[in-house]
Amino acid sequence: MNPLLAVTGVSKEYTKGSHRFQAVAGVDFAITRGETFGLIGESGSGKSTLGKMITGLEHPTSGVIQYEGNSLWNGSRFNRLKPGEMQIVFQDPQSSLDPRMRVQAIITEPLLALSPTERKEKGSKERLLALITRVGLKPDHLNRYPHEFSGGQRQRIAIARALITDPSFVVLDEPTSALDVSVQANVLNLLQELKRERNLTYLFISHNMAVIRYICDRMAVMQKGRIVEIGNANDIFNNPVDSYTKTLLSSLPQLHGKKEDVHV
Amino acid sequence: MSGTTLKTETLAAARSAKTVNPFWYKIRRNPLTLLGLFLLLLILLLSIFAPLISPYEPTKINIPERFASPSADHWFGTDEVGRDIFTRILYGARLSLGVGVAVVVGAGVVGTIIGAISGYFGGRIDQLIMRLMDIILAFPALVLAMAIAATLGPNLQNAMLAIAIIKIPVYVRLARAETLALREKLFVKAAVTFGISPWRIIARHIIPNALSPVIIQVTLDIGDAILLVATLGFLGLGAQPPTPEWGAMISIGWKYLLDYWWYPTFPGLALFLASCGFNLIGDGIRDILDPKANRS
Amino acid sequence: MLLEIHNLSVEFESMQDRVKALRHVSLSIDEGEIVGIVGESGSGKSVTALSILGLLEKNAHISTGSISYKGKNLLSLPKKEWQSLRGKEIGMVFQEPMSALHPTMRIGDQLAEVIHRHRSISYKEAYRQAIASLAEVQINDPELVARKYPFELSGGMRQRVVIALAMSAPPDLLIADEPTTALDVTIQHEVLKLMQDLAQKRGTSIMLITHDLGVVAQVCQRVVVMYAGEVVETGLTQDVLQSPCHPYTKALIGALPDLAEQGQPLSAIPGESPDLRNRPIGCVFASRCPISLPICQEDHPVLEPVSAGSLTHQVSCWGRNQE
Repeated sequence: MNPLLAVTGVSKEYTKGSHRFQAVAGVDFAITRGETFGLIGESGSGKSTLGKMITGLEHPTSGVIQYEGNSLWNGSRFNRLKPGEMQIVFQDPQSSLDPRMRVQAIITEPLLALSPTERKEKGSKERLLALITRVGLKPDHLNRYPHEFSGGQRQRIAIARALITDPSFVVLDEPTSALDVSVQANVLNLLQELKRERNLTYLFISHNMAVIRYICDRMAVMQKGRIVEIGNANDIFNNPVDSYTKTLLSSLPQLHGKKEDVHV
Repeated sequence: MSGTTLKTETLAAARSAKTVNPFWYKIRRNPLTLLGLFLLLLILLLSIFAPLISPYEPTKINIPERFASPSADHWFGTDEVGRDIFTRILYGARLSLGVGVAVVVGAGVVGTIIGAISGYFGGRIDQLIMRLMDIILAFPALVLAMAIAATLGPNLQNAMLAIAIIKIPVYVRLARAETLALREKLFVKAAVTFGISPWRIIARHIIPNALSPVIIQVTLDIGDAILLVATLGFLGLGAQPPTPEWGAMISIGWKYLLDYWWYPTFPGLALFLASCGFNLIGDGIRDILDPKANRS
Repeated sequence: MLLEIHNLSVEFESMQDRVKALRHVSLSIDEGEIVGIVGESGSGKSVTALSILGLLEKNAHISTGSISYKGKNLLSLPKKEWQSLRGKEIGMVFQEPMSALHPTMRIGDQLAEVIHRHRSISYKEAYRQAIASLAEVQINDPELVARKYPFELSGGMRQRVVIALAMSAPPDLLIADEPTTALDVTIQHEVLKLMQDLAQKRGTSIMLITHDLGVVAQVCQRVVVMYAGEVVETGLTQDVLQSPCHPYTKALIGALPDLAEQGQPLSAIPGESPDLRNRPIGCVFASRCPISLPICQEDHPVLEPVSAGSLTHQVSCWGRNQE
């Protein structure tokens, strides 16, 4: 099958004067339609930078990123082939919502990038109400401001915003890292349900191994800008090959001692 | 998560306690701010109700009563053509307040827009704009204002334009600084990923969120603007007679300081109180909206 | 008993209302123990720590209860005595190392200053001992690091320095509030192990506050589970984690992706955390509890042993005997 997203030989280099920093170095992977692909790494691994390159926030220094076979970048220009097709949910529910905008305006903002006909069709009041109810919000929430909500609710607002344009591909950049465990559970459940209902494809970026193992079909482990291991999530967890992956897994606090000890 | 939970609990409780408005509560606690507020309200009321307060016309000439000293008929005396000074001060208040606010708000609006554009786009546009602002700031404010007003022709409108121009760079810098910080915020980046045009992002996200320090600066600047307009008027580059502008009045009146002391004194006093009032309010507002406490 | 908190209730007053952050919290820490205080936001775990340290904000009001440390009631201590207790006998480590370190002072000097204060030795000697402490917290090349400034170090190293600072007296009790949350997973593991080793070596007790049950499983002998400002369950770590009794504890464990099967939804707790300004009369978890009984709405449960055979495992729940 043709991959939905294909990343080939992508690198990102930052230069500050004479100082060069390689955030991402020669990364290759592909995501097939309908799967949840995980990108795991600690700080400095380059996973966030990769996420930014895929969504158009940073341009790759080299390499190609293709969506449905079409290259997303033309030098430093981002080719948004179909606005609203790819959306993103960020980590921090606090700063990812404009504090001076009401929830309704926040959720419907992505529609501004669509053509007027599409905007009308997708921005109907019924669709909006159905969407917010689906993510667990109430109609009277539409008129409020972000600071009136808890972290979990704000993340739901962010999810609604990501879905308003009916995307096929959603990038989730640490969507639950700032949330309490019980709230995280709610949000993860919601994300799973939405994926099944709407046939979504997810790129799930996180530093949390447990979450990635639970939610991802396939995954890539990143360290210092490179992918050190890639494959089926369960396989990697049960039989890690790379030494860094093994270190990562062994640092996971074992809750019950049920899992076998992984030796570095 | 630990330290912040404490704050969110108390902050959330305080925020929803909108019924006891912390804004007024803080104003009440600061006596100087109250004084400023009082002065301004006084001037505002006097200027609004000017026709009701005074029976005289501000520009009506009445030669027989020229240079009359303060009395029951003329509280502040009369000028060289017999016009009631108190009346002229009242109408002058309208002018000064109106002009001061217009100039500063105008500079604020234009400066914010330019600053936001400069900060958001960066690169060459930013360099160009900032160097332009540097040029304006290189000149002593008054000298530049005088030069502009003199070049354009001495009247009130040109004086206002001149002062607005010299005030713009401050707002450009303020807005630009806010923009540089806002650019990195996730909600701005989110808007970029949606495919929204930079102009729309500036209008919807950057400018509304950059307004806080701009508003504080505006209130602080009004007092200064009033003084500047009066100064230009004093130098003959602003409002021209017979307009009852305080600076213009002092401009003519100061010659008579020794013989007819009331002529320049009362307009001068009015000017002092007005700019004082605005400065006190501005300080008070700055304390209340202190950026250090308000960064959220 | 080194530390005993009995029936502690703390309220915060804002302009309009009172947030009742802690309600009748009781817990104890023995010498040489590592106890985990586990809870989500709003559980009151940080408020508990700050109460012990005497670092609550000015608008905080302790309405009932006592905190006794080595027999002394901390709440009735004059400020000066409390201040000398802090640092010398009770050390603290917080989540964000940068806020605990002086940004423009070299690491070695910061450590030496504290050591010099706590032990009656010369500054030179204190500096030598500072280098030794850095080595003890597993920092390679301690002399070099001692000459650096905090911003030059990585997050993990900074936290080690903070631990060295906190353990410099050495204290009998170390309170650590989410000490590893801001660190990478691999570093987290090492830093926790370090704290555990140091504590064992010096006989220091640790009160480890965290939201992460995994951390508790790794280093804590006992655990206290808090929800909405109350203790809902407490006991030996293995007892509580393997046989949780309180519905909240069960839900918390079930909400963890660590143990969940792929494709199975995680156990989610319906509703939202309660408004701490208006605490319910009955059990604080009742509105979200799957086994809520009529009595739960009316009467507040208290901490009692789960069964006669395990006195250490205690739970505050009316449904406790429905196992």
